[in-house]
Amino acid sequence: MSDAIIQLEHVSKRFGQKLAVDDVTVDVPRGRCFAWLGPNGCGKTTLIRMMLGLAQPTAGRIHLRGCEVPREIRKALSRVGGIVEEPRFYPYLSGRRNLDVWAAHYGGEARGRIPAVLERVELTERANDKVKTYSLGMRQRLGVARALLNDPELLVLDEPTNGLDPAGMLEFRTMIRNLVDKEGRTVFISSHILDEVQKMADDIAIVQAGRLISWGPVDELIAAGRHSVLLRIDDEARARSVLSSISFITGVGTNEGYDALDLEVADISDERLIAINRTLVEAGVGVAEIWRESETLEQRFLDLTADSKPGDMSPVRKDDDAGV
Amino acid sequence: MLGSEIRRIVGRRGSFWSAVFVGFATVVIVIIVRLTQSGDAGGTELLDAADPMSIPATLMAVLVGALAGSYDTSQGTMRYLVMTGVPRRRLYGTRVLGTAIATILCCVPAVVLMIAGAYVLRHDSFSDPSLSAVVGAVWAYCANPLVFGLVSVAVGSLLHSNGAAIGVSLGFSLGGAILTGLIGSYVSETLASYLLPAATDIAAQLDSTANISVAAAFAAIVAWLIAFLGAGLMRVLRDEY
Repeated sequence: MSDAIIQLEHVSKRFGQKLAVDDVTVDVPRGRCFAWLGPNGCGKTTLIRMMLGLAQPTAGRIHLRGCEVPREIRKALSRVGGIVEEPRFYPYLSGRRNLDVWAAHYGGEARGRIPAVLERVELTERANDKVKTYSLGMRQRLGVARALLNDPELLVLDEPTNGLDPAGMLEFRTMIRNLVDKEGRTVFISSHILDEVQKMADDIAIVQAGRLISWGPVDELIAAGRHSVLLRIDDEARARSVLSSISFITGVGTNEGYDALDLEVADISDERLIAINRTLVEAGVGVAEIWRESETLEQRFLDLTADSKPGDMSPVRKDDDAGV
Repeated sequence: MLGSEIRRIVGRRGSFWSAVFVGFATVVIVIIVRLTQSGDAGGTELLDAADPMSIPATLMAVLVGALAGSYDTSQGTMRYLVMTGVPRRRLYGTRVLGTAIATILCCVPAVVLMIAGAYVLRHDSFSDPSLSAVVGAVWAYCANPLVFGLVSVAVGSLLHSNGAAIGVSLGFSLGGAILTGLIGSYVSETLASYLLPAATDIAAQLDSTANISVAAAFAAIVAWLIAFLGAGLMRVLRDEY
C-alpha cells in the first residue's frame, strides 16, 4: 500500500485557453508537512480545489487517502480538513454556532470536539461573539478550528499565513509542526512565501505556470543547489593559481558584495574547508576570512524557475525514485 | 443538518423577521379595516380573506427563499460545505427543505392571529368558523408563500449573487402574475391556468375552475417546481467552488 496520502497523476486543469495546472504528477507522503510553493497565479489554489472535490480536473487522476476523487469524495474527505483562499463563515452567527453548522455536516463526534478545537486555537473566550466582530487573524484561527473538527489525517491549507502578523505566523508555524511532529498528521500547504515554507515544511514542490518544476525534501533540495566557499585573501592571482589544482573546486569567481573570492564546490565539509585554507596558507597566500554559504531556498527557487523549460523535470526527487 | 439549515435561515434576522412581521402586520391591518368598516371582523369572512392576505407574505417568502438559495455561494461558505464531503444533492435537498420549513414558520404568527381573530372577534353566528374552514384558510394562506419560496430558492441557487437572486425572484413572482393575466386575456385562459401563479391560486383555494381542476393545478405546480428545483440542483452539482 502506498504511503502517499495524496497521489496526483498527470493532473491538468484548463480554463478555456489557459492551462492553470499542467500535467502534475506527485506523491505527497504521510506524516509530513508538504509545501506547494509557487508565485501567485501559478495554479496552487486550482490544484487544491481539485484535490478537495471543489473543481473537476480536465485530465488526470487524484487519490486522497487512497480514495479516488471525486468518485469516492465522501470517504476521501471524511478525515480531511482544509482552508482554501480564506476561511468563510456566517457573519451573523457566533464562532461556536458556526462550528456547530459544520459539525452537523461532519456528523459523528465532531460536535463534541468543538470546545477542544476552540481551546486549541485560543478562541474560547470569543467563541460566543458573532464572527463579523472577529479580526482577520481570529477568522483564520476559526478556520483552523473548523478544519480540525473531523479529526483530520490530512490538513490542506491554501496560503494560510496570508494576512497574519509575524507573531501570528510564528504561532501558526508552531501549530503546524505540532500537528505533524506530535500528532502524526499530514499537512499540505500552498504558499508563495519562501521563508515561511523553509521554516515549516519537510518537503517542497516548486511550481511555475501550473507546472511542477521540482519536488523533494527541503534539505535535499537545498543540498542539490549551489554551495560556495568565500575567501578574503591578500593575493588574488596567486590564490586563483593555487586553487585551480584542487579537484573538488568546480569554479572560481568573485563575489563583489563581499569583495571576496567565490569558490563553487559540490559539498562543503569541514575537511574541505580546512584543506582549502591549508593549501592557500602553505602557498604563501594570506587568508583574512573564510566561510561557507549555501543557496537559500529563495535562490534555489529562482534558479529552478529561471532554468525550467516546458517538459523539463530536474527534480531532487525523480518520479522513479518516489518510493515514499 | 436540517436543523442547522433552518437556524441559518432564521439567523438572517433581517429577512426572516421582516417576513414574519409583514405577514403578521397584514392580518392586523385587515382586522383593523374590517373593525372600522363593520365591526364584524371575525368569523369565516376573515378566514376567506386568507389568500389575498398572503400576498405580502408571498413576496417576503420570495426574499427568504432567494437568500437561502444564493447566500452560501455568494458568501463563500458553500465551498466549505462541499468540503465536508456531504454529497451536493444532499446539501441542496437540505437547503430546499429548510426553506420550505422556514417559509411556513414565517407564516405561523399571521395564521395564528387569523385563526384567533376568526374565533374571538365579533361575527354573526352563521359565520362561526369550522375546523374545515380553518384548515382551508391555513392552506390558502401558506400555499403561495410555500410555492414561491421554493421557486426562489431554486432561482437563488442558479445565481451567485444575493442581490440578483432577490431581484430575479421578485421579478418572476410579480412578472409571472402579470404574464399569466396577459396570457389569460389574450391567448388562452386554459393555458394561463397551468402557469404557476394561476395554478397556485387554484390549488390554494381548492376550487376547480372551468379550465382546470384542483388535481390538475397541483400537478402543474409539481411540474413547475420540479423544473425550477431541478435547474437549481443542476447548477449546484456542476458548480466549481
